[in-house]
Parts: sequence; structure tokens; C-alpha cells
Amino acid sequence: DHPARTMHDTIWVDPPEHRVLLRTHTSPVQVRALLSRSLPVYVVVPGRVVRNDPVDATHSPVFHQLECLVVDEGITMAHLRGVVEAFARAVFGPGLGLRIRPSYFPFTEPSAEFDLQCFGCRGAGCRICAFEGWIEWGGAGMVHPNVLLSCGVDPERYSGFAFGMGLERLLMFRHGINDLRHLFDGDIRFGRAFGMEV
Amino acid sequence: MRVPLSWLRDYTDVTAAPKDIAAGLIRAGLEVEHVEDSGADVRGVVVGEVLDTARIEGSDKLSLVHVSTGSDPREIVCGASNFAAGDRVPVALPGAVLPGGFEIGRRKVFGHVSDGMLCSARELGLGEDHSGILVLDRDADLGADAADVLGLRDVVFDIAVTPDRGYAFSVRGIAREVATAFDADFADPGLAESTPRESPGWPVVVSDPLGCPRYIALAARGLDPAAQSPAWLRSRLVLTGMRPISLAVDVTNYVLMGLGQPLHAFDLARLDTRIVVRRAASGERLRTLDGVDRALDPADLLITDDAGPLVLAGIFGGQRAEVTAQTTDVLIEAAHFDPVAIGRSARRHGLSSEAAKRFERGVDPALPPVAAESAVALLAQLASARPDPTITDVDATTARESIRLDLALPGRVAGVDYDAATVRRRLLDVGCAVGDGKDAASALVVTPPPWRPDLTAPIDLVEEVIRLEGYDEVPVALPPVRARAQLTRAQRLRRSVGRAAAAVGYVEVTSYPWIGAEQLDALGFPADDERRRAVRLANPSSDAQPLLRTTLLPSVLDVLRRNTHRGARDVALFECAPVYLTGAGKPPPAPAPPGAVRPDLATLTALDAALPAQPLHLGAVIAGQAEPAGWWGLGRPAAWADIVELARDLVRAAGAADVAAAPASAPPWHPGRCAAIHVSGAAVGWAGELHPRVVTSLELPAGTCALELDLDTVFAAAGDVTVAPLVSAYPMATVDVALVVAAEVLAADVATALRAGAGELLEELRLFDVYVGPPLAPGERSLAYTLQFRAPDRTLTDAEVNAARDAAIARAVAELGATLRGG
Repeated sequence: DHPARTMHDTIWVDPPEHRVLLRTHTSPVQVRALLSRSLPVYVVVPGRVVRNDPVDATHSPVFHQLECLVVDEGITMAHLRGVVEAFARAVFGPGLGLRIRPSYFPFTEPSAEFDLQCFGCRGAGCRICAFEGWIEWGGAGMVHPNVLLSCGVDPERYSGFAFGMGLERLLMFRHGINDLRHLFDGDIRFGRAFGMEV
Repeated sequence: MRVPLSWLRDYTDVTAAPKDIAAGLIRAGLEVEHVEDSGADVRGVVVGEVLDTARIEGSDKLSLVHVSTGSDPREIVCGASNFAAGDRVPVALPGAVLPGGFEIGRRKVFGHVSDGMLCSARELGLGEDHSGILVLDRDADLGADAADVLGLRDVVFDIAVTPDRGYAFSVRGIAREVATAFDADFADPGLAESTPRESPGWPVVVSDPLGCPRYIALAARGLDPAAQSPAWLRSRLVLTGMRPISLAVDVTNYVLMGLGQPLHAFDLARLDTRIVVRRAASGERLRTLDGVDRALDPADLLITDDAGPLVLAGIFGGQRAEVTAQTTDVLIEAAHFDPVAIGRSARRHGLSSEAAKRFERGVDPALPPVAAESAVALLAQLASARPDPTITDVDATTARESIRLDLALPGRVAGVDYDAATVRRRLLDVGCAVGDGKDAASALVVTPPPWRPDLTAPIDLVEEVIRLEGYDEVPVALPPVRARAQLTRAQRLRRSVGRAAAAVGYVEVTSYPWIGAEQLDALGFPADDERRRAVRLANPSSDAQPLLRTTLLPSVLDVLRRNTHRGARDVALFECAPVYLTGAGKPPPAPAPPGAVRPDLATLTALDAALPAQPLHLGAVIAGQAEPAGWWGLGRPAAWADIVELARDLVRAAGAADVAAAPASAPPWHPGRCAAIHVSGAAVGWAGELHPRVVTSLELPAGTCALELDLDTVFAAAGDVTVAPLVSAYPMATVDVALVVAAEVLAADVATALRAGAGELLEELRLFDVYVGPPLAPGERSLAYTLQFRAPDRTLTDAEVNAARDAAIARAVAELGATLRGG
């Protein structure tokens, strides 16, 4: 009943009372990892997600996210920052600013969001970033003790962080793709341009 | 939540610039999406004084008004007459711009030049009132910027509030955060001052104290029905995104935005005796303020009187006792409702009001008395109303439970060494009461304030400490990665398979996972084909495609058609994605795990059983030329042998050596031009040319070929390690053999027979010619093979080679009725 459950438009399998749906984010893999693996867990999970979004130049009902989960003894928010910054440097280079700020997700506490400095204006403000200077990159946080308990992990002994991000938006920025539909149309002229390694 | 800076400054004396305030809020976890300079769309409107008015001849509504804006008077034609000499009014000078981009100029009206325009509230963007000119306060400075005087020029912070911070849906809540962020003073408008009133007042019965833990009713009588909302009230409402409507309603909305407590105002004269707060009885209906007659559900909380439902509690008012332009006596309701009940009802009726939004996310249960008094005080000040000396307060709220916080916990979570004083200070900043625990040196007993229903566990308090100290103060460190870091076998094989397809020219595509039953019809699947048993979506993205795909073929063929319709002639593409398979009948429901404890094995098994199987498939199609035409010669059209060869390539790329392609017949393929692919005996899919009926009904190029493989089965059947072959350096002996067989005998079977007959000495055999025609009889064909013999340990003699050749031929003759050609 929590309003957070309405934050994503979910596509349900019929009948909805059976409680089966197409995942709206990759966060559920955190639970799968904790239920099926022994600790410590250090996993990266790319995957497809589905939301009841319209099909237009910036939205698609199907898109992709990348989830990262670490659960071990002694994991802190410092480790979350460390991993995210190392990843950002590896993907975007050392010069691009990264910002962390508090946010909310039901399954993390404390929760955070990461923003990247806008590629177009390097923070000065432009149309790409709606003049904010920052582009939302992903959500993160320390795994909520209730989630650990629900997976049979002792939150007194173990702690963890999780980080998830959408892949399409940054792909579009990086490669100058101006319409998200190109990624799902299947026009071979589009795919062929990228070769075998991106 | 839109918060004007001037209103914020009523509660906190922050002096920072708007840009810095925004940054401070973002740093504290309140996401400021925009910082707006409001009033930028109003230019050139000044305060003028009416000198005199005169009716214009020939018009029964227009007047010529002389106004002074501090210099020479000017004449303005005006259609309203709700003002008199000496009144101050907003004058839009020629060149002024009004909201909506309207430019004002000198105009000729009825033979007179109107040197500007007098403005109504609506024209200035201050609500819907267009019945007359907006009359300003007498003490407004002549010639002053009217937008300024009206409070329209302000900085507005547009904040996206997360569902856990209901307190932030009010200027009060944001002001507290701003004060904390800048270490400024905070004057909390939500603290109760006790106004002595007798209890009870208006009769109220709460039948459902769980649904409505607190209900306050306070009356105000003798409202001047002609009283209008003053400009400052209108502009504050407009700046927060509310529409000014009428004084009583505006006052309730003002308190809603300022404090975060939703209020409702009833016309006291139209209330029947007493108020009863209860759930709906089945069959009850309510006509809400928007005119819609709604059927109520027994779970809906209602405010009723003895004559029936009045309000969908906490969500939307009804028409019956609504405040009107004639109302003189008002009953103010300030109540606290259960978030879950409000959320469910709001969703059920599709009504997401400002009140419902707040109740769902948590309103301060200590606010109702403060809010009711604020509202009534405003009605007294603005409409000369007399507050009732009695008040009704039905209070079933309970005190907050305290939380024990281990002093070391915030530091352990953040990786920062917070000292005890810091932890205490931040919890006090939030509004908590903080006491020492029994083990005073290591723990605190913390009682969260009533406006923070989201603080229930120690980890919630930890987040408050860390966010107020600053996430940017948390250090950056890498964890010790104590686990294997590599791709799984399935991930590696999938990449190899994908690269193998791309290497021979197939382009990878991604399509949506849903299909329609008509697409399966077009592929020619019979009614009982297991690929028709699809998972159905309850609220699909597209009504035409309500099923999850059980095969990739409809999708990749759709993509092929899109390419050919855009003009492509030679297309080769593939997709690698799961398909969704379900058994006959509906899948069982997924159980709801208890939470807080690991689900038991039975629950985990039931959860998996509720999901469809999701095997990874690869679907590929090719149409047009397999080899393009060019200066080197004619091209070669794609044939089904190409797609079968692709199947072999893909399976081999996954590490499977034992691949077999046997003739098969399966829709949507052309019988006679389709092969079933097996790996180590396991069926993994089909490859072939599509049936002409399928090609026609899907508007595909003639000769389109397709394959679909179940990669999960391929990966399972593929070996892990390649076994090295035995390579002999001894010389090879080659023999050619031509066999005549009936046309329907498969070359593959002839090859198998030859191999079986020839035995171990046969290293390789190759079909190099197929011949039909004279001197062969019709219905016969000749297959010519090169047989390659070699021994691992010696040079073979002619006798050994001939013996092996003869044994091979004999086997083919015996099993398949072959005859040696030319003999």
C-alpha cells in the first residue's frame, strides 16, 4: 500500500492477484543474489526492465539497467562512494564531476542518488541538463537491514550497499543518439555502425 | 512542493542566496528541481489611483477612467465599475506584458483612446476572478511595481518530495530543513499554543478511531460573505500552485500549504445536527465537488452527518454542505486519517488531491488543533468572523515510542567517526527528544517528533545523522573484493555465440518481448502448438500484443519487415533474448513471504513455480542476397543452407562439437527446406526457409530464411573443454565413390552408412557431386563422395584401403539399396 509502490508503472501478469509482474528495475536481483549465494556477495547484474511507459523519443517500455550489490562484513557508505567513483572514472574518464545526495528507496537506508556533471555544458547549465548542470545517473544506498533479514542475513554481522543505473540515457549522450526508439527498432543501418565492440 | 522564498523567510531568518538555498536543500535530501523567478511574466504594471470615472455615451458598461500613476494622469477605458475615486488599482501601461504573453498597447475603444488597461485578478494570474478590477490596498505606493506589491515577484523552489518525507509537503517542513542546513533560527508555526476553549463543541462521533485517530471541529460565525481574499493570500496560493477560489476555501488551502495539515470547511447552516466519521455502508453514494456522483466502497472513510455522506474523508469534499458565496457560518475540520485507508480510497476513486497526497505520506498528528486555530484566526482577521468559544477534539492518538540508538551505529554505517555530541545535535535538529540510555556512554533513547512518522527504526535515525552531516563528508574508499570476479559460463558462451553471428554478417537487434495471438496465427502454428501457451499480461503496453513471446520468430520477422519497408534488400539480423513458457492452465499464485526472516524452502519453491520458464533463445533471419552482386560477378541469394550453416556455426561457437541437422517439418518453415538441429542428441531448434504462406501474410521478401535455437539447451549440451584430436603424420589415401540411390534417400544417411561401413580408418568423407539425369532413371540420383583413409600408426597398404572402401559401399548397398555407379 506504500505510495512508493506506485512510483513505477508496473506491467502485471494476468491475473494480478497472483502477484507476478515484469520487473520495473533490477533491484530484485539483490534478493535473488542473497537468497542463492553464500556470503560475501560482490555481484554486478545487467538486465532488462519493463515499465508501462509510452513509446517516444525519450521513453521506452523496455530498457536496461545495471545493478551492483556488495554484502560483506564491515561494508560502509565510504565503500559505496569508492566503487561508484571508480566506475564513473572508468566509464567517463577522470574529469567528469560526480555528486552524491540523499534520496529515498524503500529497500535502502540511507538512500542516495548519484548525478553526473552534464556532458554538454560541464555544469554551466544547458538544454541537455534542463539548465541544472547535473544529469541523474542512478540510485544507491546501504541495503536496508529489513532486506538483509528477509534474506536470512544477520544485519548485526553483515552490511552492504547497492547501486543501480539506467543504461540507455547515458548511451544516448555518449553516442549522440537522438531518439531512444533507434535502440529498439532493429534497423540494421543503426546497429551495423557500432561494429562488434562499443 | 512549490515553496516561495518570502514565505520561507516567515519561519527562518536565512540570508543565503536562492541558488545556495537550493544547493543546501539538495545536499540535505530535498531535491530542488527548479528555482523559479516568478512574476517574470508580468512587466510594466504599476499601482495607479483612480481620480474619477465617467460613463461613455453609447455604452452601458464602458467607462472612461482617469488614473494617476504618480505623474500625468491618463485615460483608460474600462468595462468594470467595482471601484471608486481614491481606490488604488493595477494599471497596465502601454508596453506592459501580462501572463500568457499578452502585450498591452494604446487602443481606440468607442471613440476614446485607452492609454493602458486596468487589470483583474485573473489577468494578473492571481486566480479566476474576472468579475471586476483587482482593488489594491489604499497604502500601496503610487507608481510602484504592482507585481511586487501583490507579492508575485518571488523566488519559488520547486521540490520533488520523496514518499517518506510527508513533512516536506509544507512550507513549515521545508523551512525547518533550510534552517538546519544553514544553522539559522527556526520559528516553528506548527507548535501548539493553547487557546482556551471549552469542550466539546459541535457534536462529532468517530465510529472508526483507527481510520480517524483525531478529529477537531471548530466553528467561526458571522463571516462577511462579501469579503475577498487579499492579494497577499492569493499570491501565496498562486506561487505554491493553488488556485484562489473563495475566502473560506483559500484560508483552508493557505493553512494546508503553510503547515501541511489538510482542512475542510463546511457551511454550518447546511450541516444536519452532528458529524459522524465512519466507513461507507454498501450502496452509499456521494456527489463530490467536481459534480461526479460516486459509488462508495465499504472501505472508504467518510465524514457524514445524519443525512448522509458529506466528504470522502481526507480526499475530496462533497457538494451538500459546501461553502458558497452566501455562507456566513463555517465549521472547520482538522483531522488525522490513517495513511493506508486514504491511499487505498484515493487510488480506488482515482482522486489524487493535495489532501490525499499528504495523508498518504504522513501528516503530523499534533497539527490539527494548531491548524484549526490558524484558519479561524485568519477568518476573523479577513472576514470579521467570530470564533466559537467551544471546540471538539476527539483524540485517540498515542504517544510515539522511543528508539534505542547505539551511538556507534551512524559511524559504522557511514565509515565516518561521528562523536556522541554530533549524533545528539543532529537528532535534536530533526526535532527528536534525545535522552541517555541505561548504558549512557554507548546508547541514546530517541523519541522522534510527531511530524516524522517515517522514523521508526535505528537505521532511520542513522540516515538523518549522515544526511545532515553531509554525504559529501563521507570518505571514498574501495572495499576488499573477497569474491571471484569474472563472467559466468553462460555469459561467456552467450558472448561467443553473439560474436559468431555478427562475424558472419548478422546484425544484433533488441525488440519488445510481447506478441499478439494473430502473429502466431500468421506463422501457421496449429491450435495445439505448445508455443501458443503464452503468459498473458493484465495491463499490456499495447492492447494488440497482450502475450509474452514464446518464440523470438514473430519479433525478428517484424524487425525484418521494418527494415525491408525502409528499403533494405539484403538483411541478416538476430536477437538473443529469453522467451516465456508456461504449462497448460494458469500458473499458481506467488506466495507472499513473511518478510523479516528468510523464506523457507517451500515458499522459495512456490515463488519459483509461480514464474514462467525463461529459457534464452536466439532467433535469426536472412533475406535477399547472402553474397552481394558487384563488379566481381553475380551475387548469391540466401538459401536455407546458409541458415543451417549459421546454426552449426553458432552451436560450435558455444563449444558443442556433436551437431546434427536432420530434415524436419515444423511451422513456420517450408517442409522439405527445414532442418531440426540436435546437439549431442538433444533437440535445440530449427533452421530453414519459411513457408511461402508465412512469407506472404507477413509481407516478407520471397525466400526469407530463419532459425531459432534454445541456447540454454545448447550450453548444457556443449562440453567444457575441447578434447584434442589425434593427428597422424602417416600418408593419406583418397578414394572416390559414386553411389546411385533413390532421390528421397538422404545424403546424410548415405554418409552415415559409408562411415559405419568404412570403420576407424576413414578420416574424412566429403560429398562433392550430386547428379540427376541420363543415364540415371528418373527418381534416382548419384551422390559422389571422396573418402579419405589414414592410419595413426602405419602407412596403409592398397589392400587395406580397398577393403575399407568395399566395406563402406557394402553397407550403403545393404542399408539403403544403393548401387555403385558405373558398375
